Amino acid sequence: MASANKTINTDVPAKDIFALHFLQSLSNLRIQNPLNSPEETTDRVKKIKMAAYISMARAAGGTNRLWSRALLRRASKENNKINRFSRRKRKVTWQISSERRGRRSSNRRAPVVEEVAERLRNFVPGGGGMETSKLMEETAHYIKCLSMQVKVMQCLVDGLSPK
Amino acid sequence: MGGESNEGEMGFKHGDDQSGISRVGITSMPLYAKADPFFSSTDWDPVVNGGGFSSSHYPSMVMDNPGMSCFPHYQPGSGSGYAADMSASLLPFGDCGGGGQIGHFLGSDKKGESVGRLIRAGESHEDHHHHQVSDDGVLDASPTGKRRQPETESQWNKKAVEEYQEDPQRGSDQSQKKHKTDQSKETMNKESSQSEEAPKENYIHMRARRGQATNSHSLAERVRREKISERMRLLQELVPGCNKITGKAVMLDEIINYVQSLQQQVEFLSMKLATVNPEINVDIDRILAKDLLQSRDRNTPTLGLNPFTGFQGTIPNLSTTTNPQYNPLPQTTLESELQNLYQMGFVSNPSTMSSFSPNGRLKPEL
Repeated sequence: MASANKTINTDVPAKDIFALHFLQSLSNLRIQNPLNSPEETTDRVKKIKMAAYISMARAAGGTNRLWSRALLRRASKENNKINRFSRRKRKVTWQISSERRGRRSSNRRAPVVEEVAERLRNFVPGGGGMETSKLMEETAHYIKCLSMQVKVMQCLVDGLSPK
Repeated sequence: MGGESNEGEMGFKHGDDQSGISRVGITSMPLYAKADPFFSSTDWDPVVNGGGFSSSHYPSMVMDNPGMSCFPHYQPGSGSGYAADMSASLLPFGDCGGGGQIGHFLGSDKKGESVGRLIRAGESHEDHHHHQVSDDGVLDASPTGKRRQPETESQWNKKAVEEYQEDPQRGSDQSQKKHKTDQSKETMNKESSQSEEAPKENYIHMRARRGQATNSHSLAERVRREKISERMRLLQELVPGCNKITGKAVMLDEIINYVQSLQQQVEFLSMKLATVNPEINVDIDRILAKDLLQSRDRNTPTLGLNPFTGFQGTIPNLSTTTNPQYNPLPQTTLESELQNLYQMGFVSNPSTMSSFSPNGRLKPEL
């Protein structure tokens, strides 16, 4: 039990770390995009969302976690949009792996849990290739970080919105 | 906890098997040693008995533990060793039913057949009776096998010694000797079946007490399921309103909903920030320039923390642009958490601050 407890470590850094990373990525975003060019709001929303996720992934320990690694990898893939072929290829491999997993999970004794876990894999970044118990662990950490990020963003919105 | 205990159980079984094998080896090896010099002089066959014992023992052990992974490693080496020894010692004595005994090494199910052949070589009318006895031995071995095992081994040793002592008189009447060896073989078969039954019974007893399947696959499956339920409990604490729910599937549904709602919240908040953002963008350059200069003037000793002072200056001054009156730390607009963040960043987090360097990027915009 002790060793099992050692493996489950869903400690999350403090909120200020998240806020710092998010502020930094926001300012980077502002610097990257020229200010007086009026962008479309959907594009801006997407970018800010991206910045939020990436800063969350960075704050949550960079590449130590599977989900944060997957997020960062996805972000870097989207940053250099030259390799669209590799993106398509990756999609294909994911489909294959999910099919294989589905076949395997149908043989197991608790098909309901596996089926729901299959849906959960779509929501946790990088959950496609995870084993179920690992998926649970990553989901726990992801939920913690996500709620932290939501709090930080809520604070920012409250602080920045004009009265 | 369950995983570790299961693995421990497995390990214990492995250990048990190995001890059983080594015990068999110990008890049967001296007999060969005893019999070998004897063989070179006369052509009697106690070693054949020994061979029958050991060879029927090994395959039965294998059949007892089909799922154990370390056992097949153990078995072929020792078994082949014995077989090589035995065949080497048996080859000169092929005339006294040796072919049948070599059949022993090939499989345990040939036991009765080879025994019958040996009896046919001696007194063929006891064939039927012999089979019955051996079958009876197999049948009534299971309930008391474990208790009787040590004494059967000692009996076996004693009998072998007796045969060894009897042997010089063997030349007198061949038929009686054959009969005797057959009888000793019957008892030996009985005992060997008993001693082969003993670890099996032990094994089944363990399983019955635990109430668990001991297949390695089901062990792994159980470990996996316990892992999953443990993580599930972890998730249950995290997700609000998940405590009352019983059932993994419903709980996972709730978890999925929660993750989805959090992601939607992030999207919504980023939308809000995007709508707020233009004002920031308009203001932020001038403010940043002004505040960076001001903060440098103010905090010359903490120049290394400049990016952070930039942040600190930015947002309050941004709010001052929206609010007419100058308020360096506007309590009304910023939550106390963000202020804590700034203060913490100032005081206690120089390392994380130093990892930040938007200052270099901000400078060209000054």
